[in-house]
Amino acid sequence: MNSLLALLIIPVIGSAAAAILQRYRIVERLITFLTFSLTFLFLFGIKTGNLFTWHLDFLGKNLEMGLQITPLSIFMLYMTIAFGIVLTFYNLSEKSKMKGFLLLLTLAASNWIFMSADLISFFFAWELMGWSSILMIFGGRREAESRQGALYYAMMSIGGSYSMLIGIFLLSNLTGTFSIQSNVSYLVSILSVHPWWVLGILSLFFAAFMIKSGIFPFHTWVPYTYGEAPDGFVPYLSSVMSKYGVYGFLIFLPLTLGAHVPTVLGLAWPNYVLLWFGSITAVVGSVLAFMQDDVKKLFAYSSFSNLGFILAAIAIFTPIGLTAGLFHAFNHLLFNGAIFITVIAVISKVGTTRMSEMGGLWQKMPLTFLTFFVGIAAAAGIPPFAGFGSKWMIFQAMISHGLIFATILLFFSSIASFLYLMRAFHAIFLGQLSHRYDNVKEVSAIGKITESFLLGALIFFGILPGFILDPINSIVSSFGLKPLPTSGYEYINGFFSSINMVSIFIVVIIAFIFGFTLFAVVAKHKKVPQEDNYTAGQIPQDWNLTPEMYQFSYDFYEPMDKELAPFLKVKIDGFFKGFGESVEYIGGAVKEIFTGNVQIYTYLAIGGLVIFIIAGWVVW
Amino acid sequence: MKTYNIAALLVGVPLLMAFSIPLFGFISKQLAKWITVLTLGFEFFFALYIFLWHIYPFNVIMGNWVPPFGENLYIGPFATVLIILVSFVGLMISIYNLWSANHGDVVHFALLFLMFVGGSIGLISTGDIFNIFIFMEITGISSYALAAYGPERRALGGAFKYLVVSSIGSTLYLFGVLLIYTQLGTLNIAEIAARISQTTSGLLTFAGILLVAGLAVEAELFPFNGWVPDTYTGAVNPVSATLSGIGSVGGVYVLFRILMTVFGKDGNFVSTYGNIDLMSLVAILGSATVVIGELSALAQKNVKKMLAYSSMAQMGLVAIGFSIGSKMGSYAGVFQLVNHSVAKAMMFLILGVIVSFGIGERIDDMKGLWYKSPFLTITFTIGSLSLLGLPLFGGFWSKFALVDASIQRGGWYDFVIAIVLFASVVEAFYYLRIVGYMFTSKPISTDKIKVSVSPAVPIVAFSILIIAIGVFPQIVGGISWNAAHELTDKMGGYVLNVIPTIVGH
Amino acid sequence: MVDFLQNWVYLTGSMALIGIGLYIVLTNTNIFRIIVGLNIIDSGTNLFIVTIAWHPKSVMPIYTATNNLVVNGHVIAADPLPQSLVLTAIVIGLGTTALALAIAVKIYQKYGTLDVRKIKEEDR
Repeated sequence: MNSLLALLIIPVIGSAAAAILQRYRIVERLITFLTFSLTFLFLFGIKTGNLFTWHLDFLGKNLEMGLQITPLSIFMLYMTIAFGIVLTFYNLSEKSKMKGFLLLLTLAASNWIFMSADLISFFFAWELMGWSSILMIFGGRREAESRQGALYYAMMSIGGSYSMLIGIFLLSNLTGTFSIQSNVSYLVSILSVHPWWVLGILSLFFAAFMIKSGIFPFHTWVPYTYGEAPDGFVPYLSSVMSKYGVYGFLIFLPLTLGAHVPTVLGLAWPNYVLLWFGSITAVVGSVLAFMQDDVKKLFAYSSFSNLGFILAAIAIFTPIGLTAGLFHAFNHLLFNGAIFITVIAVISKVGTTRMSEMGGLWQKMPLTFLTFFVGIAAAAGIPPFAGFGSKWMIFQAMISHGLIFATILLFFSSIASFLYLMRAFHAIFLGQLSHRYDNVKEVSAIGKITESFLLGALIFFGILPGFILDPINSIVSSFGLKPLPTSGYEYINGFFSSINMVSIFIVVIIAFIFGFTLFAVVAKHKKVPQEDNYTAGQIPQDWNLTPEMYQFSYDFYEPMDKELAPFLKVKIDGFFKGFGESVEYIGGAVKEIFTGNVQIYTYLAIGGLVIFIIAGWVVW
Repeated sequence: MKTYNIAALLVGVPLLMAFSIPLFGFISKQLAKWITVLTLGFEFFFALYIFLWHIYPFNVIMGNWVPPFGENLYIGPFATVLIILVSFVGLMISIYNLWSANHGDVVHFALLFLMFVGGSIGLISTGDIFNIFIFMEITGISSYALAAYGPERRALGGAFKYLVVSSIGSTLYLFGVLLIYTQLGTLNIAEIAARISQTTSGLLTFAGILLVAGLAVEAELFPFNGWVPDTYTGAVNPVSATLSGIGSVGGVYVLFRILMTVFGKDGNFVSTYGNIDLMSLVAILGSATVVIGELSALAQKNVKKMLAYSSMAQMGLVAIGFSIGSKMGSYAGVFQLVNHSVAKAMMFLILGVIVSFGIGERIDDMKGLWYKSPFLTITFTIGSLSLLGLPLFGGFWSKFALVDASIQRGGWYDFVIAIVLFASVVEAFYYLRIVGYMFTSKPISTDKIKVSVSPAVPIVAFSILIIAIGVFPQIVGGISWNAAHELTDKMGGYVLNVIPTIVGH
Repeated sequence: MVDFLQNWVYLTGSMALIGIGLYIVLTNTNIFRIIVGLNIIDSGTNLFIVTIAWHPKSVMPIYTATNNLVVNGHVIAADPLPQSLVLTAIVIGLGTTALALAIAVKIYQKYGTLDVRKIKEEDR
């Protein structure tokens, strides 16, 4: 069988099988896992430049539909399917209400998005991915809230895809073809003549991509949806599905390369605008994240904040910017996957998502603790873990263009991310263990394997980034850019300098050993329960104190919350919600037309007729 | 002119069998139900034969009275696809009725049902505007009676509202027909179409407005669609499915047969003779219908009523598709009509099964249906996703074509399609809300719903058809394109096929 | 083609009947009066159909030795077709009325009222 087709058909077959056998939970999960693995095997059969075309008799034409493989699609496919294998493997032991057949449909759609050569297939796959993921979000931990979250996501997602649909037709009616390549090159050719028109088309497309990636100002759905989605699905949402937007941007961004357009600081102005959207997203995500007490929501904000970094980097679209963006995309997939998988492991053990109800869990779940720790270290950009290198490159790319303000924003966001990651780390794993969790156990063997694997990957790709930078370089050259020089797997080559990750690793290890020795030898500590505290003769209950308020992270950033409060009054979320509410209100009013009284209906009909006759008379 | 007179059976057999059903009913009630299944099975396979062996387009001529002197049936591609659709939906509903129609006057229910389907097929195939009136009344009277069927009193209220609005509508239609007759002295569609430009334009406009107003009642366009929510909600579920899956098909067919073939002025985009462009008028009506339908459905808590409003809104979409006037527009219209009819009929049938197990029809009652019956949940989801125009299901392609057609037309249709897409987002909200209720929330009692064979057959068949169209749009695409050709090229596509010797305008 | 506008008496009559019918349907809340209104609309339409077939100078459309259908090259025979149309329309109107009355009786049994404003469900 053709490998390209296999990538679409196998998940669909697997999905059908999983749907039929969904009654038997473990069989369904096994099918899901095996389908992901089988799809991954077929991935070895595809190479850059593979094509598969077929003809569709539609719209009265014989439309040519196609699948094509570019270096970017190979990169994306490997990344997403591999992560899917890890996640479905982990889910074999997970008890959340995720529906495997929908995940497999999402996989088919995802593969199709990355391979489609024409806009019809792209849109088809995009919508398929949209609805299968919407249905998946139903059935989270809290029923009503998960329904709300899914509907919020659905509204944004469907709105975005309709905007893309209009863009597709505006474009294809001019070019007479649906092929992505010819449409992009058409846009390039008219960019300098009709810049505003091109901008209009692009914004129609970019709205869809921004919504899917959760870029400001369309980030509002992300916390609701990530916060309420079934636990087993959240890692996929955050790690894989946010990348579709990135892929979409990368389809259209090359068009400013060839054309002569006004530039700002050496950047074509559409890119400059995108860069700012990315930077603002990074800041907004970070700032909002550290007010959260719900751990899934916290990392939802963190997740789209990182997407802001990626967008800012790829918007620069120089070799280093592109490399940095794609590298960060990969690292984001890895560390966010690790973080979310450990987080859902903790949630499934403690049964709550509120951080202030957790604490001290490292004693019970040491491996989870370690994976989570490495994950957030990577997210914060601490060497030598994955995540450091890409952030470093992003800053290099920004500075090389002299984008001072955007760089400051990203720096600010990066520092803010330390704050919230620290809080999450402390609140979940450090501090005193509540008595409620005396019986909590480490994750099952399957969970342990998954976590060790992710732990290893975070360290491996941290100290040997060349394994990722190599394919990224081929992507960069496929866009017609000159790739960064490579010098061994352990080096990251930036704009000004290059760094050797292995030596950094050794330094960090030595520092760690030194610190750990000091901790073990010098410090005297004893374990105390949460309530072991002095109250100066007062009765805690008089102050409405509960054990959880002794939790270290309770109102962790209270002073800063107060400072930031005035800025948070501007709520984009409120805009969307208010809009939705007013539509619903209007709906309630419109419904009153149909009163149930037949005379009103007759009046309507006769009134309509009279209006038409008068209209006809006037035109007469 | 090609003739194929045996095809008169398409109209004759169901009407004949309908009126002989009381005789079978003397023998056994089951036999009466089976007779409907057999008759509609015959209809479906005969229509399929006409389609697959490519016998269309042809005329049926009685007693050698060639048109325009005699009455004829004309079955072109448009009629073929709709006859297949109507007889398929009818067949499926009649299979469903084997299970569902088990109390009350079963025999007369079967009679009326068969009469309704036969009337609809006649409506679609006739080549004479007065016969259209007659068939409209046949379907009308049988559907008033069908709508009044059932144990609940709301059925009666709904049927009465339908009766009043619809009989005023058909009076308006008849008046329009007569005005045309006074001008041209003929009732044959082909001859009127060829000579329409000879008429007084003022009177023609008046006639056109009357015809649109009369037909908009059946085609569920605002403001002539007041009856829709009450009647659909009141009627028992198979009847709602019939009205929405078959009745509206006939209404839309006649509306655009009149507008595009009879009144149509060929061009890149078909417009109409007369002082005002009736196609634009219908586009305005369609947009208003979509918006009002979707917004009203949003505020509903009753799933059946929501389906009724959604049905209205979908017909608005269909009307917009045809009213664009280009080939692509008619293509989108036919496609959307097929998808809507199949999906909406299926959803009413599913609701019927759900209700028969003592679950209410409010949204809250849908909670946790997934745990009771994954089969019904998945099929309902398929139906609603198809109506939303999401891929893997038929609706995707029709919405795709609809957007394409309106953007090709450009001008103020850009505005129309923006409204339509906004309304579609609203539609997505309320359908996904129902689906969400079905998938989430463990219900208090998780008694499994065992769906017996006879209702399961049509539901499965409809879902398979929806997915088949979604994966292979060419199933409907090819013939839809021919139908679009027939509609937009009125001389070559219609008139010359009926009266080859006619001297055109 | 018959110049039906010459029959202004009948024409006005049919329009008046339709107007009266509509007025009744729109202003009366009693179901039976609405049905009567619908019936009057039907009668108006039927009268209109007959009107368009005829004008004061026309002759019957049957060829006999003394009945000349064509005078000075103009057809002066009355149009026979509307006569057959009106039969159909009358029959259809009868059917609709009968059904409407049957439904009205049932409505009275189930709702206990004949006021159209009250024939609706609480749950809209």
